[in-house]
Amino acid sequence: MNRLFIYIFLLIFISNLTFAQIDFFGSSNTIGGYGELHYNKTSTGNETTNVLDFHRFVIFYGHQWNEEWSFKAEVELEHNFVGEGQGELELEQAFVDYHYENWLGFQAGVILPSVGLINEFHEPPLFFGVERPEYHKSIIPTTWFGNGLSVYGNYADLDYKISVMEGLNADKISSNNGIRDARQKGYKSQADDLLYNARIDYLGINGLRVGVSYSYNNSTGEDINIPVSLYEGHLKYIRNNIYFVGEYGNISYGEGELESSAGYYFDLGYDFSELAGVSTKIIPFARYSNYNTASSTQAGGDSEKAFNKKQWMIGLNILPISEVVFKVDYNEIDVELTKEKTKYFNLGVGYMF
Amino acid sequence: MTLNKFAKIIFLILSISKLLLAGELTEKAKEIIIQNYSNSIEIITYKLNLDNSLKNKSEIFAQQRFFSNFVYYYEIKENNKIIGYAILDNVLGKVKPITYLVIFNDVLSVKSVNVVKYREQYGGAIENNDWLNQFNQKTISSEIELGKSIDGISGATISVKAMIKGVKRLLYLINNLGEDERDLLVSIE
Repeated sequence: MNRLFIYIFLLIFISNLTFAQIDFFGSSNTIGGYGELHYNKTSTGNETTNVLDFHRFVIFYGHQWNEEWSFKAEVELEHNFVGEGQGELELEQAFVDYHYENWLGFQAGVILPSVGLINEFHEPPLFFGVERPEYHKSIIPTTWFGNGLSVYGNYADLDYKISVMEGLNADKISSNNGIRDARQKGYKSQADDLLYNARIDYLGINGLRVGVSYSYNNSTGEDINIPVSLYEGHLKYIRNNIYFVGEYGNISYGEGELESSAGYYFDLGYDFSELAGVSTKIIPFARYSNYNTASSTQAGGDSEKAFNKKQWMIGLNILPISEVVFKVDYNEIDVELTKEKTKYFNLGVGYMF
Repeated sequence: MTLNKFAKIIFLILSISKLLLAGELTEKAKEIIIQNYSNSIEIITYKLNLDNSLKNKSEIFAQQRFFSNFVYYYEIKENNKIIGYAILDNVLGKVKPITYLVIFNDVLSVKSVNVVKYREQYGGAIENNDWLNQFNQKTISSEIELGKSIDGISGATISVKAMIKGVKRLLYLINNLGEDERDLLVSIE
């Protein structure tokens, strides 16, 4: 019976592939990538540092065997150096993908959970500001990747993805970094408790993407397990030269001193290229952000103020073509408890292909 | 039920439904044309081998290469009178081709743009009708530019740009199909 099943399956499968080859399709390879060079001037009190950093260099490689089966990988070198605990070389994506129809696909390997606007779409021309929004470091730990599998699709103006992947390391959850250091990054990840992630977006109005996601993991540590649940909402609207981006996220921790992390940011920009009659996109923008990796603790009081940060930013993105961006921004971050103010002036150039 | 059995059944259902649905893209294109008009139309399908000169000019106009050396070309007739045309072609998305069909009315403005098959994880939202409807009524002399007459889709930038160029390419092609090129038409009925 088992053998018969396999024969039938193979027969259907092969005939399927033959059908799929009709109409234009052949196997091929794709190379892509992105990168960004940053200049960061940071001033706190009387101290100022100036840094030039090739922050990210990413090579993307894809191969498709036929219409349905493909492979994609993304390797990232951070800070142009690896060694002595500095810089990072990461395999951020590497998965086999089966695309059945537009409403249903499947992938397994090193995948990206679908959390917020930037984790899956993080190329420099796609966001405002030289550095990624602070919210996407403190609350959503972009780029968040790990070993696992996803089912995804697009149907009737809805775009959705469900992932099951490696969980978080409970020992590395902290008040100052939230879940950022708890990512296992695909390194021999322990799989005692898996992370479940689901996201749904609505795209039925031109220029709009709005959606929510929820992730749950009973994170595992040496002595303690911490149930972590993360919900977030995101909205991006680009129409009539207006850019509006907003995201809010909250993480609750079911055990330990830290009870929750939360934050949000809003961007508003306007593309002046049409008014100026030029093809180069010229987009000044403003951002306001508030994020706190220890927004609620058992101790309360000052411990909830120590990492409560408020940021405002103004800046400019200039895109001579849509794959190349020059950026400049000025921003200030205030810490509630210490009243410490840090000022940043950043320049950047980024590309994608 | 064991997981193993469950997985087998799912795969079997998927494979069979896939086989039934597969069909040919050209047939699906015809169905879309009928949906755009009515059952009373007659559709004649041709394989249009692209003449080098016309191919190059279309590519330069749209700033995008053709995916292959031919497209499928449809004449749409009602009561023996031509009421429209359609072209089935591919553009390359991020890594895979997007098969699309542009239907033109008899004065060669766009009647509708349709995604016949989309094959990538991201960007599937270009199948959204509101987005595709932005191309309707566009002609060879219309401004068809992202962010101006055509809004983008967040998360589908590459597909959006590919489709815009793809429509422009076919607008140029159909507006410049001369007698010589029409002689290259091979009916596949």
